[in-house]
Amino acid sequence: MTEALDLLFTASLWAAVLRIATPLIFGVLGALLCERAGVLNLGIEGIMTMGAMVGWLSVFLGADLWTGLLIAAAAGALMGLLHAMLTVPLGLSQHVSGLGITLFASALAYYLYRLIVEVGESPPTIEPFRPLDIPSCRTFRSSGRSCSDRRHPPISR
Amino acid sequence: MSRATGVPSFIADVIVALALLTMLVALLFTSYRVRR
Repeated sequence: MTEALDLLFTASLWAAVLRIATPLIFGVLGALLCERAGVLNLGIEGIMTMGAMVGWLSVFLGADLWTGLLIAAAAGALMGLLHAMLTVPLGLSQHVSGLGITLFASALAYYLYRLIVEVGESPPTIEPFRPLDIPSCRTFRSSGRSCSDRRHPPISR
Repeated sequence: MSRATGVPSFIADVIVALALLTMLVALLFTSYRVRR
């Protein structure tokens, strides 16, 4: 019991929490904007998946990392525009269109992946952004892991 | 769905999603009436 409590007070746990939760926080910020605008957006998962897939594919096919980031944002905005077209001018059910967007975008992302990328023995990789060296994060290094010195998810390294 | 259409599952998922969205737009048209 005390070991579990001790784990809660380690810096490496909170560094990992911050690292893993950051993409979710971006998604939640988008959902918050939609909620404030009066639209229930259930398509966020699909929109994020589509943006991530298109951005990763563009870098995999030879684009610059920052260009890939812009393309990912544009792809996400395009899917958001589709959701907005269905819910605002057409006035369709926000629940069904959101779930439909999620289903459509995640299936399309997987379809694009299977269509474009050759599936071999090892998963395809790209060269990701360098870890950002934040001076205030250096204090974490003495306690083991650093929040700026972490390895990237398996698909990018 | 994948077996019914005879295509891989990732294509079947796209078909299901497109069918859902098409049905959603078709529901919109039920609120209109053809006028002579």
